[in-house]
Amino acid sequence: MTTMFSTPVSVTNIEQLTPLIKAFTFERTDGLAFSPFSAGSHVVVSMGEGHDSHKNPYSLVGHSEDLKQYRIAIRHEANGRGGSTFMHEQIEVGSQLEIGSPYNLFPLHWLARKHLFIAGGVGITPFMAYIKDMKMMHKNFELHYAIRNKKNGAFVDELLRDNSGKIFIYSNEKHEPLDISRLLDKQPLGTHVYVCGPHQMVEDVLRLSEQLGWPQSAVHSEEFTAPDPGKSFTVKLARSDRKIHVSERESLLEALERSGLDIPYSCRGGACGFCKTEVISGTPEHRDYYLSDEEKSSNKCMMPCISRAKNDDLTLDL
Amino acid sequence: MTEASSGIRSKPQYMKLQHDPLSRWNLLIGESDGLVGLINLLSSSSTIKPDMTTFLYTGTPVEKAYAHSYFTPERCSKVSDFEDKDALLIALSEVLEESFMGTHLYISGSEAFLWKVQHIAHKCGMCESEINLELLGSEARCVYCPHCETMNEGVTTDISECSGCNLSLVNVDHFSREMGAYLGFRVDAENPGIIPERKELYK
Repeated sequence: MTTMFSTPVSVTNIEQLTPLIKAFTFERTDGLAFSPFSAGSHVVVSMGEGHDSHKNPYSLVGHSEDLKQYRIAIRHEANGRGGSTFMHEQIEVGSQLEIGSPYNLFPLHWLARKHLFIAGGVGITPFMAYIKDMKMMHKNFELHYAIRNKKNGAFVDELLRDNSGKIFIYSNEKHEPLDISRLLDKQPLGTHVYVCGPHQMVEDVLRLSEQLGWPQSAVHSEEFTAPDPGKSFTVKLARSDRKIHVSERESLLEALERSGLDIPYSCRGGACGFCKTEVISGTPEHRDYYLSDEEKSSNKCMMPCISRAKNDDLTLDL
Repeated sequence: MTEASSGIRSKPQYMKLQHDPLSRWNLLIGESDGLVGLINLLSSSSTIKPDMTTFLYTGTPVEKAYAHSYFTPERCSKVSDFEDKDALLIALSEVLEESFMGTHLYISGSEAFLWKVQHIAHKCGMCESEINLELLGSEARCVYCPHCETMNEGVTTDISECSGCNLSLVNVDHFSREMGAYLGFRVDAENPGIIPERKELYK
């Protein structure tokens, strides 16, 4: 599977965008060009080794025009699982990492007559690539970007330099709240809305758009959710006749990878469906957004990147 | 609207209009016999708000008079009737340009009419889940000739002569939502000159 290919890269630039957000620029160590990507794509960055290893997805913020480099922005989550801390504290210019091929779970819908982008905090990253596409293709768009304050908003200076009149920044500090309900209330027919930001913001857009009669097909969201910790458990692998222990803080997928299994993956957040795994017996604790309710209740498959087991009776077809 | 449960999947299956409770603005579009479908929709739904409802209609003078007697301001705040379909479609484009997300379309009439309206709605960026169709009236088909790219309207027989290239076309249930037309193709392609007798199938 193409997303599994890892490319060795070196870090060629690090910018401190805000006190918590750093942008990293990569170039391939073999000097070749990266593959082109569509706006909204992410890459999975593999970092560290052994127990301190992480594989996290990040949106590409640059534009496909310049394939000599890829650029991502990472917010330091002090209480996260360690990936962002690793990137913020251990990676410097010249560091070597591996990244996967770009994959897009948040593509633009080109038939829309208007594109309405709603970003919160570090959720601005996919939109930076979107906006370049919009301007290049002369499309009708608006960006509404909510930040805590100017100091904590990534790319604010770059966005403020824009004079298209289509970019709106809402700062909590200045008491300019982004009123999602008002924003969605009177949009012209043929508008598609895209949201990337904190969980509550994504939920609000999904709920309010439904209440206001928007069809689901015109509402797009992306949330990179790290797998929440849970109770530790043991899983049986039927084909290889093994038992694997999954600790509280690691995901089932990570435990399987640690045991040498090569499971296809892309988003590592329960959205893309790549790591779908057959369940032979037992009851998974489904936490993904990919499987339908029927699939979940059948307990015949699960997404190990984010879902866990309720007890030690889970047996997988691996 | 759903897909056929058997046979050709692209052939549209039409259902009675039902109000989607999430539809905020309701745009009711009808032609001739379609009036019945729209009256049924309005009378069966308690969730339709008169001040959020627009009715556009074309039909005979008698039909129009009947439409006005039912679509009173208490039931529907904006009511317009039109000389013919073309005038209605032009007005519809203008209404859609001024409409907002949350508008749902309820269309009732002949099959050709349904898809003409649907085509305009698509061009305005509406998607299938915002558009409801009920077939009431003529099932005469639009048949697309792939040999000369002519659209033949009002076809009521299984085999018909293309008005563009004069070939005899057999029309099948394969339907293009983009064109609002069924596919026709040369009936004597394999045995030139042998044209089966045509049957009247659609009224």
